[in-house]
Amino acid sequence: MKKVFPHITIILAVMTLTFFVIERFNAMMAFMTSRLSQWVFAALAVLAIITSIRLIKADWDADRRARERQARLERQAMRRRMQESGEAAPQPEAENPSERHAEQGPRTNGR
Amino acid sequence: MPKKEWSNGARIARMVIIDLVALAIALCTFSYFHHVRQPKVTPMEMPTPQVTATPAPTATPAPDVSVSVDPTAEPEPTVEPTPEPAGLLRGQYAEKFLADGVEQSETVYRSQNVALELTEEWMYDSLVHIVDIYIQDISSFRTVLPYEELGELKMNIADIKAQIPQALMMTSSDQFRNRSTSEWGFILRNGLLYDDNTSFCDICVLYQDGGMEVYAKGTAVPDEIYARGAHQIWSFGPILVQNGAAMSEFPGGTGRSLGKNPRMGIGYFEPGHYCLVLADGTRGSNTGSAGVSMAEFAELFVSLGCTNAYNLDGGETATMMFGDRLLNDSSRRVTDGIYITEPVEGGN
Repeated sequence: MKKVFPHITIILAVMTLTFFVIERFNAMMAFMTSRLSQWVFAALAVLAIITSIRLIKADWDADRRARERQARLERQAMRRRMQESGEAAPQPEAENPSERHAEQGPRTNGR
Repeated sequence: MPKKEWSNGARIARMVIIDLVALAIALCTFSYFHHVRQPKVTPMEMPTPQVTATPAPTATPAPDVSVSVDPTAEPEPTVEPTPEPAGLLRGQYAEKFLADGVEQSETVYRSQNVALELTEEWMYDSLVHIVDIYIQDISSFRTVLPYEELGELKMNIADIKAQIPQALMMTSSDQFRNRSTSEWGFILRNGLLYDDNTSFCDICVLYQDGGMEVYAKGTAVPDEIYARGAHQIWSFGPILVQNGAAMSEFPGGTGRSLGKNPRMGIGYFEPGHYCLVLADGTRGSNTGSAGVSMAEFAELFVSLGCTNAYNLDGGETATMMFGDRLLNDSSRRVTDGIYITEPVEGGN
């Protein structure tokens, strides 16, 4: 269903543009002012809000994953440098599940 | 068998095609419920007007020339007042009517109560058909709704007239059923109210007393109209002429609709005297007419001497029959019509 929403939004948007063009030629048909048309505009508005919220959330998730990947790469690079310089590798800190969870963020299903 | 992998381009093309098909289905479904599926309607109950009726304009009675004054004669005893002539025209245009019988030709119809005169002139590079209408009784000015009265939503005007043989002439009207069912406007036909939305467009009201007024969009007061007694109300517009002056602006019109087109309009001179005008154009006509613009149409009604004039649905909708003669080639079916007939017993 979530994959269908953007397509429905596009369809409703193109319908709205079609009404706009027809209204320029024949205002008496009331394509922009009739009650049925207003329901189309309302549905377009609702779907636009839903798809926009999903897009914003997807952007946030992508940003967060990018930040975590960057942090992980930096930690790996630091360990490699320490090993090459002959220093004793620091004892790994006792893992605190709550800290690990805070670092990784909430689990996603990869979507 | 390995599953076929679609390339990116093929996937996108498939998605676009599916969306286009869904769009077509959505538009067709919308159109069906928007303006194709028109419900049969029963007339609404006319609300009780909250205001008193405004005085109605009356035609100036014709001067009584039968009495001549002789200065040498002795003064006569008190004379009883001459009763006012009956009918909307109050004795005017008596020469247009016949005392008895009917005269009918390709361009004229005359009887005791109805006089129609058809003239056809070239004006503004177009063939213009003008029917001058004189009626003694308002019930002669009628409208027809094919869906409610004849059982078909849209009909050719010739077929409608064939089912109303008493119609002396017939024209297209405002085609109110050719638009969204929620945006008909202010519709009243033969004294029956069908919709009371005054804010959709300019309206034209033909009153029971024979007067005809035009009202700009949103300015009509329904109670005043009901109180005076409306006979017909049309919703299309715009107003062409008001109080003898052509309108300089036509709100709601777009460039194409204001340009040269076939046009149908109704004009008003005084109670009992009206005109219906059809201007041919490039559509629905083989006369080589260019059509008239909205401004030219307004000028035309002013040149005829109209007090008020109102534009009805034009383009391919505009059509007129005089007698059994179809005056243009429009093949579009109409959802309502205007016709003139001998007075109907019982009024509406």
